Amino acid sequence: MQTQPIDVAALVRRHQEALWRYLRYLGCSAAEAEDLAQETFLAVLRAPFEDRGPEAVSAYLRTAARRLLIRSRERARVPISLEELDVADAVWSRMAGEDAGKSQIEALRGCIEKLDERGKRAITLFYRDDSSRVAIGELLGMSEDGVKSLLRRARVALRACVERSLGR
Amino acid sequence: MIPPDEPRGFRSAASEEAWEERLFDTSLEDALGKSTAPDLALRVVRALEGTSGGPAPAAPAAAAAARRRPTPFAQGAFVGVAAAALLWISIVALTRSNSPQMAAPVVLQPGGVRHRHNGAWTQHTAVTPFRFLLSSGDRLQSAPSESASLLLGDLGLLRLEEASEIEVLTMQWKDFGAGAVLGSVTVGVLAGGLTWYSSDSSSVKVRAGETQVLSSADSASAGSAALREQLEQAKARIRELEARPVSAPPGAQRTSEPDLAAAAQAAPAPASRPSSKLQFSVPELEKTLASIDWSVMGEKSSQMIDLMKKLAEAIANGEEPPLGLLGELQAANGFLVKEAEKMVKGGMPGEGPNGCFTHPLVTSNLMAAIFEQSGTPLSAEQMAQIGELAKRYSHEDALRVANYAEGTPRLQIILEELALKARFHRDAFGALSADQRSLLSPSATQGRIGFDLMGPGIAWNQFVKPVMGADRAQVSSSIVSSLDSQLSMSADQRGKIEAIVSKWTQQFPDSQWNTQAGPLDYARAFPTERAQIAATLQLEMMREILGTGLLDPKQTATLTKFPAVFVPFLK
Repeated sequence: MQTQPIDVAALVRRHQEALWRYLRYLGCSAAEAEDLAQETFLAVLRAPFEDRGPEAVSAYLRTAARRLLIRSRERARVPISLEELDVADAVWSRMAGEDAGKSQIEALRGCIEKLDERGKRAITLFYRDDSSRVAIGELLGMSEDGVKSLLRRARVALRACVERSLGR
Repeated sequence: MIPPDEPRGFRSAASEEAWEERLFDTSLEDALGKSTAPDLALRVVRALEGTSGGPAPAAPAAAAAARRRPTPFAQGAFVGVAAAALLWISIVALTRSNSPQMAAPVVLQPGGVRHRHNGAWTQHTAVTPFRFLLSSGDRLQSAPSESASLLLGDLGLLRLEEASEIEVLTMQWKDFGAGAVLGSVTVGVLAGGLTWYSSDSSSVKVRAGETQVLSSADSASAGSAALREQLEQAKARIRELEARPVSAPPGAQRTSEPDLAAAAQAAPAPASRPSSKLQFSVPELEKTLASIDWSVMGEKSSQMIDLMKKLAEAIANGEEPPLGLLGELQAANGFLVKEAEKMVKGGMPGEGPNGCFTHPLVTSNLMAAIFEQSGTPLSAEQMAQIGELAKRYSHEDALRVANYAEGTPRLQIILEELALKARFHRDAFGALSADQRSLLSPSATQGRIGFDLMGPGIAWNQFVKPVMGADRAQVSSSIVSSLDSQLSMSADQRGKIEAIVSKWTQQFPDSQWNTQAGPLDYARAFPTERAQIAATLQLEMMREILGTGLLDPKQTATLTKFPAVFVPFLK
């Protein structure tokens, strides 16, 4: 049970980014992840709550968020396989680590800068701007297949660079 | 994993490798700043204010009510509802108990009430007493200018004032071993007010922000014989109606917004649907969407699709379009324009009338109406998929609109709106069969600006400005002149801006330059892809111009609001 007053704002700020990212990783859009993250905090904080440290709270929040996501998908009649979610959680715990992927993101930022201009542009258009391969091809003067190859190469290079940066 | 041009939302990912790839994708999007994590602290703190001791579970509705993002829909009656919703949160948390999720029959007296169950709103309209089930967590909303009366079993009569909304917090049941009867219902008043006439004759008025236990006091206190008589008469009438053979009741229930789960439970088989109607909605836009005649929209849009196809084919073949065809087009389009006007006036988000017309909820309802008109309605599964997509994208769109800063270039807003609609279009069309896609978007008009009624091309049509030139320099010169007519540039400004525009025209891809304009291009029906490429580059150009500091405040404001998209063509 709660033994001392909780600084709700501080708790939310400490965990919101990781929770939001976790929900996006599970397939939510940014907006949906925002809503579910908010619902998760409310659900958890309205019930008796004990702050047992960041790691435990983070795991607890993920569990609550996962439950809300399952319910939301069931309502929408697009249920998620629980087995898949178990695999997803295992990967998240192993890969995202304690910082919820922050170090990977930081490493990626540096690695993106090391890409050549064309690769950087393709990756940006595809992952940030949601441009289609056709549109990227038009902008870069390439065929759709060429863009696909370019994206694949850039991605492989980024993964290798991130692995090196993180010393994995 | 590069899955371009496929839905980038939830995809099945059974293997660890697939999840690792997805995690990498998510990190990549974050590293590139596609979206940033929200600051939820204030919203959560406000929602929890006064409720810290409450052991109650959170309700999604409370989370939604606590959300304080600015929304473009907060107008008219909704302002009142939204304001009351903030008070509501504390009521919910303090009084909700873990009562069993049992539903109680209630009887709507002649009139109408909106009923939210499992997150979906249904409009109940009755000309004779109409019975439906009410559960904990449900909401009831009366019309803005009409009260609603409901009989709650043996407990009494609930009268909702006009423009009122209540939520059922708990239901207490009396267990008699062989079964349970409803003992009391606790409601909270979200907006407006209610009067409760219990069967023991007492009455009580309850206002917004208050809760009330609706119960029948079992006392034999003297009371209003008239009220008891009224209740008994109503109950007798209900028994009489219930004893009749089941048939379509007059004033039958009209489902206004199919919650996907509720629709699955309650909706009749698609083939038996009586007529086209509003299928997909969200509360903020319900009123506007309900004002549209979807049956006629489906009919006229089907006509338009067919007529546009014939027109496109005629133009592509170099034929003169028959006058009769143009007349038919004008007649069908006239109806759609009137409906689009209703959407604009009703606050449907979107840049211009065609922006409203291409809103995900409009497109999804139109799709349902067109297929129903064609006699091949969408399957229940497709309805569920498209409904979910429409709501999700509508929500995303509302967030998009709410998050723009004052100085955001209008072109950026247009581009982002149309990119969102393109994604919705792609995902919604992904739920259709090839034949269905072809019915909505025949190959002759598919992806063509102004001709593809069911795609974002209709919205692009408002903004594209084809610029013809013999070469890049000539196109560049035309664009500078066009900008000059808006900005009244000095010679110095003009010289510097010419260089930036020239760079833009140089960046325009060769593959587009070298595509010879065909008859459809000359009719402004070029592919949306071309407009998107031009707009993306133009936004970069405009940002560069704005970033130079060359423009005075008035010019800056003009360029920031500039909506036209220059689409170059070689003569």
